[in-house]
Amino acid sequence: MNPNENGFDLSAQIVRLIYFALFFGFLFLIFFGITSLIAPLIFALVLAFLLNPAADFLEGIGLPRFLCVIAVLGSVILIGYGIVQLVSLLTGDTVASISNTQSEALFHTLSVFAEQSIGYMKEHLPSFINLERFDFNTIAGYVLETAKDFSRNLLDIIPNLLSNIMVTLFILFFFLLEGDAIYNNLMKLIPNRFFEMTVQLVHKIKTSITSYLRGLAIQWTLIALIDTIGFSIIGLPFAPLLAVFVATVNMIPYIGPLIGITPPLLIAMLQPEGSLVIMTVAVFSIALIVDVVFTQPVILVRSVQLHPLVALLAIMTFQYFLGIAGMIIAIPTTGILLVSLGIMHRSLKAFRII
Amino acid sequence: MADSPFWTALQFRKPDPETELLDLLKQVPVFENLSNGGLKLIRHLCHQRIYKEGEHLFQVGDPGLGFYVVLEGKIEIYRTDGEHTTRFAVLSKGDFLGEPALIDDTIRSAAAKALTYSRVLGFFRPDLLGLIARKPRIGNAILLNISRILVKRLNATNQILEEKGVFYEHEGAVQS
Repeated sequence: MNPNENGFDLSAQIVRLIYFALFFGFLFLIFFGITSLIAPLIFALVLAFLLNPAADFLEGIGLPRFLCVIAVLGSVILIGYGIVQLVSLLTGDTVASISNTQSEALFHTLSVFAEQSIGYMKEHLPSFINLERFDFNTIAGYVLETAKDFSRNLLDIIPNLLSNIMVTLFILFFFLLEGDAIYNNLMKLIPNRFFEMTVQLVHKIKTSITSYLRGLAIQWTLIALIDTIGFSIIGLPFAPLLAVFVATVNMIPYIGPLIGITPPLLIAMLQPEGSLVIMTVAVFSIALIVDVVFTQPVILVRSVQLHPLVALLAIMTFQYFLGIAGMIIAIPTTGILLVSLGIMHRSLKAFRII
Repeated sequence: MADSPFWTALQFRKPDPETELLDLLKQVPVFENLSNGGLKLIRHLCHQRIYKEGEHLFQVGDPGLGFYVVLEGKIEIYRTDGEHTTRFAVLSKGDFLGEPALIDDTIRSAAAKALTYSRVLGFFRPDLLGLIARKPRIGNAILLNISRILVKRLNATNQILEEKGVFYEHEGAVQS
């Protein structure tokens, strides 16, 4: 059949069909493989956004890219190792005692704490609230059992966690080293008509994400530092660990600080010194004030501005699908989404596509 | 004579497209005086695009984002005002277009269209900004080259205006 006669070239159509079948088959295989790697992939991507400026900076002072990436990754591994060492040093004995079957002492402490709490509540709560119905010994037993299960499961989680960390570092290495090549290859898929717009869009989104993540990192470091120093000075046990927890959950807006204060308060209550509770609240408040007065308005608001109502809606939606992790990623993800939509809208308008 | 198929067949080394590309980039004034390492880095940052006949690289009014080096084919630079179309230039292999967009995000004042199947290399402002952060020496060299090109054009424009007497008229208007 001559294609010039009727405009239909069967062989070209078949070759085109085979090409697209192979292309989509390959894509399917890639996505099938990616589903099991989705968490390390996302984590590596976020880390790449965060660490790329550091690698760029080192490259800017004249080091080869490969060495820069090795140096950055080495620092991340060292910091991670340091945190794990610190955590195991601080909590190793506690975890061992919880997982130990002879944990009557802890059960006793929990029961005493429960009884003290019920006594306090009976005095202060209205009489129509019947606290007799609550069996605090059962609750203390349940809490202890859950803690035991967690500490026992820790041994099962660790190999999985380690393999995920290795995969994340492996992906991160390539993202940092070959980010340009990956980006260029992805850009080849963009049709010419949308190409310049996409370059602009990707650049703006990348800048926005990097600036937001940098803001989060500064916020996290400041709170963790203030709380570590403060909790250590007042003599609260597990000070660095609690500080890291407070700083991490503080990334959840509005309810983050409430969740954050709970463990330090509980631990302070379990201590014999009564003043520790007040001092814990004071340290926590100082960190919170620094966050509200300095970090949020100066650092974070510049990158993502969300209406409180939108923020609350985002937190609830993400919490529904992803739990606590969803609450932490709700604001940055929604912020990035909104920023991307805004940039996309402006770009599409500028390029007269909409 | 050296380009004839006979001599090409006798050559031990086949023409390497990558080397050819680097040689071509060396000729582009924006990348003048850059080392081979610098050119290779730029080559990796650039986006190679293929345009069919009649396809636009950009239109009048599009936000300018970067510049293009023609690797193959012919690109027409033109502007349409109502019914009237003015052709400014037809660019071919080794020519470049749109370099002011590397510095400033002004809108494109003319359209660029592929007259034939064309292969171009695009280098964009985000790439340049990244390069300045990562390799300041190369980034600065490129900025200096762009400045030189723009100064040359400014001087040429001044000369044309001077020849047409626009400056004198303007000065006269100011004086009066």
